[in-house]
Amino acid sequence: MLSMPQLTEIVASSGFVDDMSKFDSAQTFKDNDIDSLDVMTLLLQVEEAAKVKFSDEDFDRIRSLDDVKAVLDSKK
Amino acid sequence: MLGIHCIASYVPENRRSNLDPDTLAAFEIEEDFIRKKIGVVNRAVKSAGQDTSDLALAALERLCDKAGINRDDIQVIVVVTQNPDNNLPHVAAQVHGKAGLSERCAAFDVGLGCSGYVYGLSIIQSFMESNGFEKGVLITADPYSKIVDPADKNTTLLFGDAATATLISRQPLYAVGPFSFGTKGTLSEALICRDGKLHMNGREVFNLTATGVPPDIKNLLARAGLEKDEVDLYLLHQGSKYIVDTIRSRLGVSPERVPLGLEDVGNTVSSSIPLLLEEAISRSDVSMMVLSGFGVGLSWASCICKRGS
Repeated sequence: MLSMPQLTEIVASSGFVDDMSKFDSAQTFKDNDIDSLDVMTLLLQVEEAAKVKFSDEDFDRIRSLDDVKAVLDSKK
Repeated sequence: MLGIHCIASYVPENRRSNLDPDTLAAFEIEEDFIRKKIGVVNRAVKSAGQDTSDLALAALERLCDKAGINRDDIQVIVVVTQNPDNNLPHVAAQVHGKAGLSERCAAFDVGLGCSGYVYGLSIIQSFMESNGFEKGVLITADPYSKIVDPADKNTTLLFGDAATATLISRQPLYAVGPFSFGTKGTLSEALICRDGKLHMNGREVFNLTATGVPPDIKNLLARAGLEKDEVDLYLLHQGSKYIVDTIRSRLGVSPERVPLGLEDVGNTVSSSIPLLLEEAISRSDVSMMVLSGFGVGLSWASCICKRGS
């Protein structure tokens, strides 16, 4: 399963965040200025990297990168 | 050899703006998101008095004028739609009657959505080939304004109404094929009309499209013995600017080769590819194209379109 540094690297390489030094994994994607469509792309990239499939329930729970880590950990 | 001879279209004059302040406020979105992500500024909307067969007829009549064809020479019309005037009869029969086509002309519908134009090209060519026909018309007309819920943020900002008509003949400008097709029926409920209202699971549609379409196109190119840079234009179904950009990025082709055409009309379902193609086939600098449609089913279909017969 992916570590937080690996998840952060996915966010950094996506280009969706102008200044990663200001990115806060505990804050919502919206508060990190990542819109709903870019969140779909990010989560797809996480699914591809982690070789998992988020359910609609998972998707509804995920608001932040910390949430992504928690959902991934729950699938271990 | 059969292929595409001429294309005409009908886009209703009425527009609804996605930049209307009330719309932006109701859905808590900003103009930048509309322009840069959704890509639809205005949606074409049919008038209340128009139905699917009226849009289809308008496109057919424009094709007859543009191509200078005698209606009696049309041997088959195929209408791609999932929003017919009524459950029965089929729209193609209604268009046949309104257009005054020959009683010897075959007419049938194909029930597909955004992949329907590419499927339709294969179907009508096969039907014409097996029957020795000279002229046929493939029509797309799927006015989603009939089923979109204006309060549904997932869909109401996307879809527009339009119709197109493509003349298939044995003196084509473009030959069409090979084709590839795919279906993920386990996700059929991701785009579904229930109780007269469209429902879309945007994430499922996005994921399947982003992960399924680029490899399908790459496989098609390999089968046709083409490199991606040998293709002048990739005419992708205009689901949204975001999905077109995503597929383009995953294909690794430049933006100039992937035109956008939804800003002033919206996602016109099976009409979005022929609307782009109508303009593209008039360009002398274009000789090789890939067409790719994807959506309801969930399904996808791609083909090569090559100038000359």
